[in-house]
Amino acid sequence: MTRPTAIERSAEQDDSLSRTASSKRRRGARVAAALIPSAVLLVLLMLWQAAVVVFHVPGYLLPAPTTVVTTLLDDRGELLSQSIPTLIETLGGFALSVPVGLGLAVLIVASRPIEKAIYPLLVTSQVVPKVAIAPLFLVWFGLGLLPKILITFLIAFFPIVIESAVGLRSVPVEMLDLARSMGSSRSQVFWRFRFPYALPSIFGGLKVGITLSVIGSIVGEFVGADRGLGYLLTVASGQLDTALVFAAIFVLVVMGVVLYGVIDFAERAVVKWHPSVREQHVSATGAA
Amino acid sequence: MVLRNFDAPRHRNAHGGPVIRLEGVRKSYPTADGAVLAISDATFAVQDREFISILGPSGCGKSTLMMIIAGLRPVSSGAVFIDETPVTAPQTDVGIVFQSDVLLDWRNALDNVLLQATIRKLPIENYRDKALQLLHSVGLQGFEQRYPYELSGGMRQRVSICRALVHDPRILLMDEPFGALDALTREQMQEDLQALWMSERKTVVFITHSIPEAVFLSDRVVVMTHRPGQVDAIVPVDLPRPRDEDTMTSREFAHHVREIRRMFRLKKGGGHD
Repeated sequence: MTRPTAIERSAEQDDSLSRTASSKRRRGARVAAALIPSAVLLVLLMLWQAAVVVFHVPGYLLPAPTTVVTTLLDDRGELLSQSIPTLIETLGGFALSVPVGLGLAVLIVASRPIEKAIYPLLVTSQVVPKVAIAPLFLVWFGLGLLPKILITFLIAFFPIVIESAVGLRSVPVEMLDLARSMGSSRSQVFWRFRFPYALPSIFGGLKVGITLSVIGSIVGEFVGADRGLGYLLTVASGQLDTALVFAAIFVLVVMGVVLYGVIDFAERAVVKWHPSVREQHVSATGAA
Repeated sequence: MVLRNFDAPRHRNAHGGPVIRLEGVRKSYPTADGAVLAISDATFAVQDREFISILGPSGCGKSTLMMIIAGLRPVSSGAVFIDETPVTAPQTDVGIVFQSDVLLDWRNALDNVLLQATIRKLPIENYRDKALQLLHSVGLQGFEQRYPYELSGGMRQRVSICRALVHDPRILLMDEPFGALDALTREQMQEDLQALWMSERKTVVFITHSIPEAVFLSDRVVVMTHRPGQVDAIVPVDLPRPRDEDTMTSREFAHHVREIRRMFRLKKGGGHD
């Protein structure tokens, strides 16, 4: 019986046929995926520029895209140096929320009583507006990086807990039966079955978490800071330097997108097997 | 396929009795509307290296019965014995093939088979050859490094059968393993399973709702009736092996199929007899 069966052979042919057909379709989709958003963006920028020029919009209301670009170049030193504390707060808060978020998810999945004890606290922590408790943190921890890191953490860990818990819990019963029939220990059930199974969900939580981290650090800086992009934003808007506000927002967007991209890249490297990543992979290679 | 070790027993039965014995197994589930009886009475025995099918309509509790034999679900009353030892915990000297293949998406075909060795902390290298041999024997050479998403449904279920056999368990439990496959693949899988069983010689409990499948594969067919499930009859199938397409068109085969089908018909008109 060392022959492939007829069924498998025909399945293979089917597969290769559909592969050549779909590779053409995919190339077309890739080009479209890269071109369409760029074209839309370009048109919007041109409309913006035209509107500012035609209607003589004053710079403090709405600067033209070209003015924003000039500001970006002129103030690049200031923008860069103000980015560093914001980046540290973002990464610090995120780095804190990953182990705490995963740990809480494991506890929630491991035990009903713990889940019942933790859940109301978790939800309450999310319902409390962060902007409202930020001043408290200022009182307790001063003006430095720590209160910003804590606020970032408070905002970012929640989706990580929820997504991870959902992933860890959604392991099929049959898979757990299989694990038990192999005599798996508790730690084997976790590390060999639950954790890898939950990885796509966990990465989903991390992606939301990292974007919220950027927001968290800015919220922290708005409330009280003497440096950072959030501080720069408050100062610039106070001086009606709207072009600098736009430039700072642009830098923030770049930071957020790059950080998201890092998580996305890690996900694609770690969970290549998952359908969501396989599809993403197609469009991502198209964009490159 | 070489039929090796056909007569040499690899697992000797010390007591000479049945490998699996069910004694008045009863199973009920608590639901919102009170307890639902899934199995009212199952009593039968499986001999060493016997291929036995449990045949019944959906909802007769046959899958539950397999889980009970595996020690993965408790009985409500009655008992299951493996080698005359009562089953009270998950059995590990078994291989289980589930309705779905339950492959781990993050492991390739070979590593899915070797999962048995990994979990049981057996030396992986010693089992690699056995795993490859099993994969080749079910026609998966060249697919060892493929991930589950790169395999067809039939191939995936073949991998899961190899996983159930690689640690050389005494008992193979299969819960409608071919239920999700198309008819052509299914027939091929039945023939391949028979060949595999003739070479590996496990004690097999095979759950199915297909009468021809049960007759084709089994030494004996345990016929179960509708919920609450109970053993209605045990039908011996004495067709010579290896069985093939010719067997399926033979008069004896048709006779067995008709005999079992009649049992279900009679049961349906149950009130009259």
